[in-house]
Amino acid sequence: MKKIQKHKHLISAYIVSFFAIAFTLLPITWLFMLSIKSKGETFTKPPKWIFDPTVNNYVKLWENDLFKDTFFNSIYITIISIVLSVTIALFAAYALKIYNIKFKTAFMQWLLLAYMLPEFLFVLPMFTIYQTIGIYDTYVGMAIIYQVHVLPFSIWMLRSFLDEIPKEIDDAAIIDGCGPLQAIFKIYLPLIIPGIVATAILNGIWVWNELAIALGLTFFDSQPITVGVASFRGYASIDWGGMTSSAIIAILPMVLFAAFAQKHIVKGLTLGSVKG
Amino acid sequence: MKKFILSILSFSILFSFSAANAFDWKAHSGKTITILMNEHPVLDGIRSLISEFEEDTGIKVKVNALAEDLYFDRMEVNLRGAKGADAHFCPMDATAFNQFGAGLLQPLNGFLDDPSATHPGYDVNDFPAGFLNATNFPGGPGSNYYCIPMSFESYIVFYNKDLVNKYLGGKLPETMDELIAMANKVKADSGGDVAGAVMRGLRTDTNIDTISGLVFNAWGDRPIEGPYGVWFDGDWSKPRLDDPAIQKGLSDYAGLMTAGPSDILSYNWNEAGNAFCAGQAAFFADASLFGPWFETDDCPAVKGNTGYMALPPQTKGGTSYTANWQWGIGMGANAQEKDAGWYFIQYMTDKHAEPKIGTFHGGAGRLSTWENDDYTSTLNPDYVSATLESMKTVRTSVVPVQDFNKYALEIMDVILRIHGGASSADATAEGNANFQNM
Amino acid sequence: MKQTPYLFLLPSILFLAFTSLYPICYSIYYSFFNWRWGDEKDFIGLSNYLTLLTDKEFWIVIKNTFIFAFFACFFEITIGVILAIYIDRIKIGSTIIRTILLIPLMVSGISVTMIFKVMLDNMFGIIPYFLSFVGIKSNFFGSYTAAMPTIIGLDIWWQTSFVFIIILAGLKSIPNEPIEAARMDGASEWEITRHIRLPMIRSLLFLVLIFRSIDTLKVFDIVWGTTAGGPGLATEALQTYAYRVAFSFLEMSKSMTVMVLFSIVVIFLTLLYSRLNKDL
Repeated sequence: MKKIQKHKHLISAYIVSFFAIAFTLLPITWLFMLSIKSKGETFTKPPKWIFDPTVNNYVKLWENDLFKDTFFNSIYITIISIVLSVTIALFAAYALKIYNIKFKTAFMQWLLLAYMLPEFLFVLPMFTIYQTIGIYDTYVGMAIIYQVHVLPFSIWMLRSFLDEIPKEIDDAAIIDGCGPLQAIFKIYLPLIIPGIVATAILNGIWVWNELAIALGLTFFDSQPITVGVASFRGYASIDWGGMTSSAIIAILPMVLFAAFAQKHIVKGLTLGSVKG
Repeated sequence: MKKFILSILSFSILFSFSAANAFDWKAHSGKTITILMNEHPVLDGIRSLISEFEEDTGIKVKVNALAEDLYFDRMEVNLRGAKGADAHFCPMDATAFNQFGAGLLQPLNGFLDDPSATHPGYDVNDFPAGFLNATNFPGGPGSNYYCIPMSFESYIVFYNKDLVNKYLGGKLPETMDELIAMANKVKADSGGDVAGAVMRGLRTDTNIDTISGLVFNAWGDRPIEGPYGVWFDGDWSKPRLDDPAIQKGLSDYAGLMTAGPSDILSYNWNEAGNAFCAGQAAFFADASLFGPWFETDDCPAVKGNTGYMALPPQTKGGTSYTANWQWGIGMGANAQEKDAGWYFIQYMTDKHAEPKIGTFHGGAGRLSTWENDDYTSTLNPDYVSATLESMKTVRTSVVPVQDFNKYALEIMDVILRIHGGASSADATAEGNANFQNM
Repeated sequence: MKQTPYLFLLPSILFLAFTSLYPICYSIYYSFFNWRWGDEKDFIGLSNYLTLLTDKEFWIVIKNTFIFAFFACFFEITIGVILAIYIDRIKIGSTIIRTILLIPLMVSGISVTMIFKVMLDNMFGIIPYFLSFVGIKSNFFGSYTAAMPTIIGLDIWWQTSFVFIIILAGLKSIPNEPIEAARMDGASEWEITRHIRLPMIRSLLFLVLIFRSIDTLKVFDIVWGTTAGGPGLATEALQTYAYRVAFSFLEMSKSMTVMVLFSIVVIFLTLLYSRLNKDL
């Protein structure tokens, strides 16, 4: 009796999973199918299942100056954002763990607030000052403003990973007479590499997918791929080939991340939330 | 004597050489310019000529093209940055007027009057004064041109011949009321399979030009006092949306929307045009420059199957009226490569390029182009005659006042209220009140 | 060195001050002016606030935003928890399932809009096509009444995984003993879930609520990319409204006023959540 019960629950679990997976994958599959259809076969009523696939849309994308630039712009912005956030967060997390900071609670609260602030709040204020300083429409400029969201997250993440390090190591570091810089790089950093990877990946995903701030603070020189995809947007844009293929290109790196780094991503999401 | 003649000869040869060298297409070779454009048939035409331009001038072109509503936002941002595009698509209306007022546009007379900057034979006066003056600011002597026209559009009716034959027995409407009734009949008889008409139903201020076309058609030959346009009674504080002719015009628009597909409220010109192109609508009242698109292979359902007519008059045998509007090309005051940018502008608007680009949109600005067989022969003759006929009674839809786009949005709101069931009297009265509050 | 901790925190503080304090101060300052991206910058006191708070349109936008947030959160949390409960039972293949279900979360909002724009397109979309077989003439983005539910649906597709992943991890970290003991006692699976599992992940549930509720209030990408707030004002949300006021009407001061008001709400909610979380 119990065995059948147990199997019943497992079977229903698999059924639910099946529907969840179908629900998840079908839209992306359809997007991909549209991206390899030629224009004449896209706008058919009823939609066509059997058609001649073509890479024409992707070729056109590559020849599209704007879009090609946006792909590489995103890569640069993402890398700089990650490096900046992880580096600054590493020092902050270490300081929070080891030392008794007077304003720790207030600081943590500030982190949470900064993380939660609505994106469009930053656009207009930064627009003016960025132009004055000269970092408007630059990779560095974008990396800097993105810190308001990725830095708090990085600090939480790295701090929770550091917290997992047993006290014995802390004591050993003190006994060894390590200065803080040495301690960070020689002892702690190697121990939290998985945490750093998780943080880097999650930050990278957020930056890569960001739109509102990018719309406001980039233009010809540094617009990222989200703006590139958005450029195909009309209220009802008719360039479905461009829309779908650009969206697939934007999605692809992230899906690969999900496939190869899912363990890190999951750990990052759960830890990040728990400690936040 | 020989020496004298020789010197005269060589002097004149030298002189003609230097005159010819006063303008050099390759003067800015090696530079790169960035242009910001709207996805539009004109851009397709420009794209077809870019490699030719790059070869003739040695200037490399980077095209930033955006779908229309995003373009309008980005254009404003572009003009206000420290560095801007070297040429951009210029809506030749109150938008450009506002930009001029804010000092964002580069005056072009400096280039036009400089023989080393503009090639001889450019002949800017080949454009009708009415077109050029749309962006001649501030107006009057000493003003500057700010944009060069690239395409004009007047508002006409396209019809799908097959659908008209199928549902209307091939009969065409002779009045606006007939058009509305027939369009609704097609929608009903087809069981919703096809739309009777498609219109721009999206809530945006940019529908104002099509709307003006229908309103002018109802306004008839009554004079319209500038700069107040048809919407104000000789004074900015006296909106007259409730004028019976305006009520009729706005109701006409709403009546055509009623014959539209169920999601007409999300249709901008892309979707409306696409619907007609796919053979999903019997009638489409909008900009003439869609005509050439409907005759291409991108529209197999209506290629060779499209009819063209002016907006049907209010009374049988009466005169049809409509509006006109232009897209042009301009330059921001913050452009980085102004001289090279000007080369691009003049190249794409001169007598050589315009007929070629014109075949993509059918709204060429230059008078000489309309006499050019290379251009007119590529267009459907019915289209040409319908457009030329509408040009006879066309008036500008532009109202040069600060923030006209807010009024334009309110006018669309009036139409949406009528479409939603309100009476035109109530809807326009509310419109007047909202106008007063602005 | 006694200053070391503060030195180590200095970069964080500097970056955060520049990227969070400066925009808030700038926005508050200019919300008292009438700046329209030109040279005119006159002090007008609380005029922007008064205009906004008495504007019918603004309240519609607020209503839309909260309705969206409420329903999106409700469905995402419910579905996410249910999914997590079921998939918690699976041992074989759970990694693959989890990886696949993670994918929508990795997709950018603008890509999500592209996916559903083409799938739900009235004329050529695949879903209206299937619906027509059961006699439904559908109208998603273009309908006054269906547009908001459609956008909510998009967010559900996109963000439910967030809830799912976190709750699943929480469920997996529940010790086995109480569950085994309850099973011995003859409790049904549903009773076990209700009385043991859910209470033990209470704090995670609250956490998920915090993140999703504030995130959904901030909705931008999926509205802007599909309906841009339409039809009419049916789907206009706070951030898309602020964007439109700034870039379509060039009313920079008014736009910043909107964002100041919105930020006050977000800050209030965040502080409230922090306080509640401590008590939990």
